[in-house]
Amino acid sequence: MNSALIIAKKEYKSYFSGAVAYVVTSLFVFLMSWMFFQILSAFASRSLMMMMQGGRSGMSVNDYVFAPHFGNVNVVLLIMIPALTMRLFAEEKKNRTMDLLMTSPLTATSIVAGKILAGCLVVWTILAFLAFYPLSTSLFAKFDKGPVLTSFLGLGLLSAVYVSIGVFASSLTENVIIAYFVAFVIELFFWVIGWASASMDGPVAQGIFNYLSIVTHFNDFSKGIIDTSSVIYYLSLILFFGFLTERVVESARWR
Amino acid sequence: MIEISKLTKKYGAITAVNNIHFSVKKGEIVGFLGPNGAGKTTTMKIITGFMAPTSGSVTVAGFDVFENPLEVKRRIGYLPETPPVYVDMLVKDYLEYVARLKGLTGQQVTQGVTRAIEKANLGNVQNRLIGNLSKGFRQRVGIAQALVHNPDVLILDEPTVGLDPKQVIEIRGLIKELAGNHTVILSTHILPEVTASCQRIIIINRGEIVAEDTYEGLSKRMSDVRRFFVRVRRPQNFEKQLRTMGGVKSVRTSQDVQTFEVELDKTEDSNEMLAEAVVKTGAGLLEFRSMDISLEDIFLKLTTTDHAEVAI
Repeated sequence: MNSALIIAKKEYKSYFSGAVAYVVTSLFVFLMSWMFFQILSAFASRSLMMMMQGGRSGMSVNDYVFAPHFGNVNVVLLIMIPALTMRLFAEEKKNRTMDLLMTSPLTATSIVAGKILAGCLVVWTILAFLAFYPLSTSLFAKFDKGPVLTSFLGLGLLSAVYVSIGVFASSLTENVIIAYFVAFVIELFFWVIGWASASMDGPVAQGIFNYLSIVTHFNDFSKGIIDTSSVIYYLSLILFFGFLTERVVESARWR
Repeated sequence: MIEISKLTKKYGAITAVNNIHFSVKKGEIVGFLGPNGAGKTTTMKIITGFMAPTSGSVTVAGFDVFENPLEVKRRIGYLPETPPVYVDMLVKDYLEYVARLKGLTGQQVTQGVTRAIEKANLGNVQNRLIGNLSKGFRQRVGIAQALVHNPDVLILDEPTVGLDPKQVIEIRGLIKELAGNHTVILSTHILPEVTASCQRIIIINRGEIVAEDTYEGLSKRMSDVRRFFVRVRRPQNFEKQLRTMGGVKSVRTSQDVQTFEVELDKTEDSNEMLAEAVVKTGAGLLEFRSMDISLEDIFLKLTTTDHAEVAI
């Protein structure tokens, strides 16, 4: 496990020693701020209208601001994370530095764990900037803190799933563009897999496809629900793709 | 220290290494010599545990590479063909990272890094980005990387490629210095390299070991043969005469068919015999001299089948 931490630390540092992490973070924050501001001003004008029509504003900040906001974050992560993770194995293979890892006293498991951990830490660092929105909103509006916190937990887990998929895709090739695209498609597939439930007969089949969908589980988190089955679902996806990556890395010996 | 037996590696239908066996004693420097694509790199990758063989076994320091890969890897320093360096890291940070990957901790890391920097002569560039270094320096970083955990066994795949002549001499000196404490296998297709630093030479071609001996032993092997360089004006009759003459081992003609390299059994009158043949056939002698037999010749002889060479 110690060697996984050594690799994670090196990878994490390398994101920040170049421009990558800074560019991604600043553009991500710019984009999220713009989107958040649009949601917030739409909410403000609509609730003002409702108040003028006589009733007191019954619109909840949680439902009309934070839920769509975190939905947006989710979509942007879907596009952004493969770009961050695509280099993790592909670049090592292309630059032949994989030779170093493969001839060092490390297990394939610790190499993969280190890579996934590094990716998660980078994404979580970037996500930390999102705390700015609820904190600044809390200065002038009342809302329920619970769902916001569970949304963050959900985002943390979900981004780890994306990282794990991204690392897996990266292990398959030495071409970063292929790595990006494979990761993106796998992620997107887990988004839309739930659509199949509409065309299924019977509650069991519908339930299975709903359970497999990444989005269904995330909706629970943004409503303030921590469902054990959702947590288990995300963790098992992370482990599943981690396991596949470990197999790919180990199989390099046998080619 | 290293025992290799019945090692075979196939890439699909291509056999890269075919049933080779050899062993290397502790403290020995062994040169692995062969043309490009002979299977040198494949063999080395298998010894380091980077790659699994199709069949056969490799043990390093008593540990089987496939049953105990981690124990073996702890004892091996490996410099691949392309030095495995990260261009976005400082030399010193990189070596520290490698040291930690190899399992060093705390004080050992700094000691290992300092020693490797000193041995590979990287003092002046230790705080520079690897990406900004020249090829020669990167190669030296690669060598430092293999040395950082002071391994018992060093596997160096073409260690002097891309270095300038002065650096080549330095690195050869360094490799010699490592003998005794370390067991070294180095591969190369540059012949002076093995004569300069290796105690034993293994020549490999098309995945098979074609010769294994000391440099002296290999030279001796060729010393029962004398070689002459002959250039004549009218080669036709002379060539026919050579084919029928006794004691001729091989004849190599060049493009212009006027020059011959003739190998004869080493006997008292071999010079005389050849000279006589030239005169008798009225070939019109232009040049006649005896040639030294170098490692190059041994190498070429063992690794090439030249179409111009006529075995008689």
